[in-house]
Amino acid sequence: MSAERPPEERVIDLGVELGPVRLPNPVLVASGTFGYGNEAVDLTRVRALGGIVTKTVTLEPRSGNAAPRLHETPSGMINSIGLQNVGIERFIAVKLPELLALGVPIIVSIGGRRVEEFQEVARRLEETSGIAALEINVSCPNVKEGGLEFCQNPASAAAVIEGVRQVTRLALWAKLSPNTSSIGTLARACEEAGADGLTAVNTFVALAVDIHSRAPIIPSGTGGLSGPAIRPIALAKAREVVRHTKLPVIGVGGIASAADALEFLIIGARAVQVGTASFPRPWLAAEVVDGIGRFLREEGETTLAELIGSYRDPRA
Amino acid sequence: MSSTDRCLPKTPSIARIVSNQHLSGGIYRALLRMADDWGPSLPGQFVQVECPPREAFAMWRPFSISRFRAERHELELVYGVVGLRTLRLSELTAGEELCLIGPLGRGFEAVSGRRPILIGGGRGIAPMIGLAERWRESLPDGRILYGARSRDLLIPIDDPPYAVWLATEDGSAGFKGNVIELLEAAIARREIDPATIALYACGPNRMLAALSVWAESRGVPCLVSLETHFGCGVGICAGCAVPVRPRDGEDAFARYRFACVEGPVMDGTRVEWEGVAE
Repeated sequence: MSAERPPEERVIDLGVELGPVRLPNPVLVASGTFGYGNEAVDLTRVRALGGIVTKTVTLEPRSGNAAPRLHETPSGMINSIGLQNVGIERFIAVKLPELLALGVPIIVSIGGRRVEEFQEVARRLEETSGIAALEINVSCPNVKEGGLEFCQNPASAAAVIEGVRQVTRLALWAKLSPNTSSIGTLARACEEAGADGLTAVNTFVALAVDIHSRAPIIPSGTGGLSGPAIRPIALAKAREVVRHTKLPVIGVGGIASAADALEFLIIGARAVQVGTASFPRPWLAAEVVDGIGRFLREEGETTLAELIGSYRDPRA
Repeated sequence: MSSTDRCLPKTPSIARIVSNQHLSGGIYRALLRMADDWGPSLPGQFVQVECPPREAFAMWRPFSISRFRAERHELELVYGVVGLRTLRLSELTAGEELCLIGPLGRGFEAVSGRRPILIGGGRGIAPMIGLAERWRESLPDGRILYGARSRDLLIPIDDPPYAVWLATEDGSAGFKGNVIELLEAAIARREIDPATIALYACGPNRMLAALSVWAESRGVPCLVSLETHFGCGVGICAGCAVPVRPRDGEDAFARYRFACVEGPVMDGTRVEWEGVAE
């Protein structure tokens, strides 16, 4: 019998493969919750992250929505940022080189109002090198000109994925909206359209009202709810997606601890994204990585693969 | 942006409460003992504080730095109780600890060649006192204008570095009126010449908006410390956007600036105030 190292010293490889994408560990930071990706590097061990998903980049620069854009709710917040970003040209010229220099897999989130816009953004990124994947934001609830249509309708989401697939060899993750009657159908539509991975889920459409002015607190009306308030619903949605497709699933929604992340991995997500919880604690995602490793050692697991999908599904 | 006005901390800091004292109305002053290597900071910068109770998730709250006494490692925050979290904060006692990130954002920098007129509204007076202490030697001819709703809401100011001119809306102390009327009165008496001054202000956004409009009409530089809804305080959430009129040659998309990293001190005459929440 070989001498085993005590559990606390055992090094477990947390590396994970999501189709064509290999990540050093399964914990990413979610789009729109970590700036472009390098703003808060002083506040975290950025090299400990499994990857960074950038804020959504669009073809033209966008100034974003009116203030206030945020409203805290119990265990969460409603946001309506409106995809404020510098546009693809400046992103590639200025931001992308800084991000690639971080030495962490960079997944660029892309958005648009029409299929052609998504395609043009993807085409420009195809000409760069070093990007790990594109995450296609077909689910932003806060961009009115067509974004909502993409998020609710499997056919239009699929049209975007299919269109982007035609112009790039980059790995494509489709970020799914939970604001749809059947997320399983949406997931399958994106799979058939050529996605390599599915990010589940984006924010839930939500409303808060100022009882004195009788107006919505967020000027545009509804916004997207995120944070631990949505975690159990997001987890159920992510499980639905896992059940309906063979694609790797990246679970996201309210993760604020390693235990939260483990739930998503157990139900079959191959990776997770930490989102809103980075706002108060930009270092949280790095702590989640540590926590997952610690849990595996304590549980006596030797690989991450043993954990992923280990859910004892009563329906199975 | 110069290299000195934005100092990002490397890690969150633990602050121990030295005292947490009620001043007046709903206004409190917390004195916090910081780690020996904390700082330096500029008046107008802020800290992002984890207010009690500690939860798996809760947004941290931004507080203007009133003063930082480097030799004693003491950070002073003057804050208002405006909700449950600031209420819990006000109940903390000496010896208890807080987690915070800071100093963050851009602080006040003097407009060269201009006499500083520091204007504080309500609890916004506190950072202006800290600023005056800093400028006392280099810019000795400054003045402080302090506006409050009424006498019972005034914060005591010990040993003010500049002469303090007081205005209350109900006239219960000092000049009766607001700080702009106080300023106009001083100009009428030729105690202040608008051609030679710069305004530096902290207080309710309504006051900052009115001051900025006044300053622009008079061609007076006006730097204000803005308060808005902060999600993160470090530039990653895009929540604290403030609409700003682009200068000639600047892109229209750059209309929204982040108060946390491009502020909180901003040129008030360029802010589109109708788009700023009160």
